[in-house]
Amino acid sequence: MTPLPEAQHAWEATFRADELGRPVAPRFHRLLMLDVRGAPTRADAERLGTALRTLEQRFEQGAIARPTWLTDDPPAAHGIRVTQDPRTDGMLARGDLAAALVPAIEQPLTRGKSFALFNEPGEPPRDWARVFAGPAPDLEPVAA
Amino acid sequence: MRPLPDAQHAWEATFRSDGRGRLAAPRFHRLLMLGVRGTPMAADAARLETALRTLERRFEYGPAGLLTCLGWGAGWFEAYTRLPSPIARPLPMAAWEDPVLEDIDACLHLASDDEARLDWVTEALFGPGPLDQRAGLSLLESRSGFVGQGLVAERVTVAGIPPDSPLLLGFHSGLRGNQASERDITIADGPLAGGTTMQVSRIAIDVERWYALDSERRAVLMYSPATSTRDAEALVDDAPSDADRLPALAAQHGLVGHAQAAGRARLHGRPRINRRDFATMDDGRPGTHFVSLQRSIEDFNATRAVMNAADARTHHPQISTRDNNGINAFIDIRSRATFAVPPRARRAYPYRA
Repeated sequence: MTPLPEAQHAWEATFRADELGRPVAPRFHRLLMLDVRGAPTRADAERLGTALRTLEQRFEQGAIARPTWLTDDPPAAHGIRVTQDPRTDGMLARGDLAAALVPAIEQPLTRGKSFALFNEPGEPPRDWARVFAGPAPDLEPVAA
Repeated sequence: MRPLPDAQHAWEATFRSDGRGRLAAPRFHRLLMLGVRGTPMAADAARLETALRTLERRFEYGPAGLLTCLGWGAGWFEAYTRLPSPIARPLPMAAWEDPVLEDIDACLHLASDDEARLDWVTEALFGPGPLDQRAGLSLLESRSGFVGQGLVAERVTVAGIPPDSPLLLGFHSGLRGNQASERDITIADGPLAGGTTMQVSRIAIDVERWYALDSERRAVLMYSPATSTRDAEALVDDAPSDADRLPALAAQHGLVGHAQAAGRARLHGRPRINRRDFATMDDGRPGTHFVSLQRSIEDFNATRAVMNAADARTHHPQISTRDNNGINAFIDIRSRATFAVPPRARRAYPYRA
């Protein structure tokens, strides 16, 4: 994981650009309004810092795999398609999801990528590196 | 009287076949949607079981007499039993679907070749007399319909419906290979062992727009781009419909067939659901009561999701989620409900606490 900026507000270098080169902010937002409970201790500060670092590790570097409708079919009974089509639908055997998640965690190629999986007629993949080379990273480099 | 099958859903051994060997379902159907009144007691269960047995003794088991199948909804299990519901509640299954997701205690599916008999049975169960169930069950709604050659053309006044069409869209759905076997949909273990699950949707169908298409166009939308009207009429055992060639054929023709898309849900070539659907003119509008039986509601969800062929539009720009995509542009799902169908021995208020 590359070091994160020291400034919490240093977001813009991560924004993708629209077709005219304008930075595009994230599409969805939440403002969580918080109250402090009691007298905060060092443990509270550590808990909060750890949680935020965990989220940073998970979402900046990780992969997001979206299954479609799950079935109890035996693993490797179908082919598996990996797609970044946001409107993908279909079915996916739980065993096939598990078979895909292990290499998705292990493969550096999946870092920073979101994708969906569904079963289709055919043979299951043998070369996951090749499968995961297909999806594009979620964040594109900002236009110069 | 011969012993009846343990499985309530074991109907097919009684079906006759048409002239080409295709199974012919009973011609008339009722779905009696039921609500539980008060707290059911042992006497209520005995009254219901006695009434169903009386009907079974009175009428031959099969389309010539009467077939029944009683399912219980998630609400029944949650409110009146100590079991967690063995079935999932209904869900919308496409971005363009907005069905009423029904919470109905029980659904009794009645079928017969004699329409008047279904009226009689409904009145006997929910009217005055020795079989009356109204002390324990309310008849919330009776949904009716028909299936079989001649009935659709007789009862639905839309130009172009073939006179021998068994269902609203003009094709046979009950091909042996297109249906999961009753054995495959029977639950092997757990509280519903020997039973199955039932999904019931009310689907409005735009038959006027469907029959404004020529027959070749209807055949390719129903089956696959490589299926002609003549091919469709000749189907007897199965309609595999090029399910394994969907991406290539979609890219070539700009179109996906309904059977082609749904065929991709098969496991080792075997479909997941057993269709018990029938045409209806309830409320004066043509439609289908789509009843499907499957080992798990997940099997229905998988089949329905695959029918969306959501990936097809990535193969050709003329294909969208509904246009040039099977029958998706012609159907509108109005409601959906799910039920657990216990084996016959447990059909009356199953697992009552």
